[in-house]
Amino acid sequence: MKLKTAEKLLSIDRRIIFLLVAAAIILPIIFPLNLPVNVTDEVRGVYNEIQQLPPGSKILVAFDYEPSSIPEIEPMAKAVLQQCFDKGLKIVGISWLELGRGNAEKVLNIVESEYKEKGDPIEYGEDYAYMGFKPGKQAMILNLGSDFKGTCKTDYRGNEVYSMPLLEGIETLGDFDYLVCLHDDSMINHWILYGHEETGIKIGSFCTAVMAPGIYANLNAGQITGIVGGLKGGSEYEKLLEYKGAATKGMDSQTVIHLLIVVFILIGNIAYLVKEHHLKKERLR
Amino acid sequence: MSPYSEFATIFGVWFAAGLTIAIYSFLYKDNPFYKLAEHIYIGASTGYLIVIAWRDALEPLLFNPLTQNPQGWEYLVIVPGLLGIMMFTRFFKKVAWMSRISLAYIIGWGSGVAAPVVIQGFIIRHTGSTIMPIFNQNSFDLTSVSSIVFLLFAVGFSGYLIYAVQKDQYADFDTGRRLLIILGTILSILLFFVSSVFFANVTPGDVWNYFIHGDTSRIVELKASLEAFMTTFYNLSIIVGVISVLFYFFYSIEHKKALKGVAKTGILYLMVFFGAAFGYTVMGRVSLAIGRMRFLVNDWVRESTLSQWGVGIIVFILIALFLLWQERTRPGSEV
Repeated sequence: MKLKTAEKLLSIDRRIIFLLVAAAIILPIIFPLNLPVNVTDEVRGVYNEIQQLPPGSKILVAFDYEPSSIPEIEPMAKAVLQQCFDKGLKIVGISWLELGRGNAEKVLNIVESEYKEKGDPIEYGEDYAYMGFKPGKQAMILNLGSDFKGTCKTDYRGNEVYSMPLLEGIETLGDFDYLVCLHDDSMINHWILYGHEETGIKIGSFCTAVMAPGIYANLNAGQITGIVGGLKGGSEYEKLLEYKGAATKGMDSQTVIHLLIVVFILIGNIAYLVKEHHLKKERLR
Repeated sequence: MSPYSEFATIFGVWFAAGLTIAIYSFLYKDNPFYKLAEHIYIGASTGYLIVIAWRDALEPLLFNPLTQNPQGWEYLVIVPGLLGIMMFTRFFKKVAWMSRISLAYIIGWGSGVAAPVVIQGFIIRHTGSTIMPIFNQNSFDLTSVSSIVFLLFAVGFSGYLIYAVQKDQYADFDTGRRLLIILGTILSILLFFVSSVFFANVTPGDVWNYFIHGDTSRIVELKASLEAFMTTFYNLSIIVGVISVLFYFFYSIEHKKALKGVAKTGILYLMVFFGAAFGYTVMGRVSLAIGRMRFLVNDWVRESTLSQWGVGIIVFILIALFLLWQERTRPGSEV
């Protein structure tokens, strides 16, 4: 490679790279590659834990993610809700983020209408309920641990939770059989500290890719049963449920873009080394 | 099925598509479209936050208890309400000191509640999960000759390496000698684990029969041995990682000679973590771009009719002309 070529490669206009990235994302959306997905033990840990629950078990789903994380978390939310409803498990939703409230409403509405279309409708108050945004963060979780209904008082529609058939037998957080935490920040740490450690509730983490590496320590310590991290985790979960959702479809673009990034890194490094080699030669002359 | 009217849905999709493109236009260069979308984003999310804070927090927890026949202890909600209001005194210099009372309460309560659970839930738990047996007693055999020999080699090579580094001799060694010590240390440790863990319950003959003759009669034992071997290595890497990373952040002893090697091992572990975290971060950011592109391709381009495109393009052109005109007429504008 000549010095000029190397210099050209090292000074490619960033906008060309943006265009290539955009093409690498859009083309697999238009022409799907259907690449295979392998399921990891971390994802299986959450799936198996929910799968072994008997019908009628109650699951608390914490919708702790903001709209900016919808592309990553929403496919997981749909998948886990589908798994629960298919198994006849009861869902109680809650958010401790103001912006998480709308996300929860949206996902629950979508899943509800999907089941309605399938001819197997799920009913609010019987099969699922949503408590809405509950402020207080750590204090809220601690209070849920001692008096769930007293902390929530009303659901997001303003209904009294004391008269809700779904919440019969639920006095504290520990009465739930499992906690699904859909999060895009460190909220899982608070659920672990003030929820799991105080009441012993089992937790499964459904998080953004950015969050995943940081919570492996909790997995190793047995504080969570598994991690479903990012779009990749979502696609693995969809594979376990034997359907192709947004996460699986997105993995084609994800793979192509990663290959492109590897190519960029290789080109950049080779061009840099070639340039250095030429400059060293010139200096020796 | 969308709960909104057809017009609202179509308008929403076009508006969202326009805002997405406006935000991405920043990749070309800063422009009025980007600024408009940015302001809409900040404004809409702030407005939404305020509404939710009122509907789900202030109204049911503060306003309603005080206005709907409050009884006895319900008057106590005045206290957190006042503490909340006092936070806003920061905007007024003369009474700004009052916000410190609220902050003191938050920090005091937070620390008091967090300290014991963090110690219990993170420090003790995570330390506990780090303290684990390196070997599973059922799959460890130190009685074989090969295990003892390789153990002696491992101790000898690693001991000599530490001694040489400590006595400043290592730097003077030629390349061949350096390679001999390093490879000898690594190989003897590896062979020690292979003979003491992997071959604790299976024989080299079992491996030979499996790979060469396809004999699967001992496959269960072979798999168990391989798992025990991998677990041992994993446990060892955790121990080495924890000690070396902790030592890297321990500055009371100078990191030189053999201790420099320990600190460097710590850096290596940290780099592995940072690399994994960065990889995951790239995946996360790409996922967001995929989400938007899927919306643009599937919900916008594929779902829009020709007449919608016609109206959409006219609206886009009008907005563009208006924004450009505004930018050009602004004093000191470079556009």
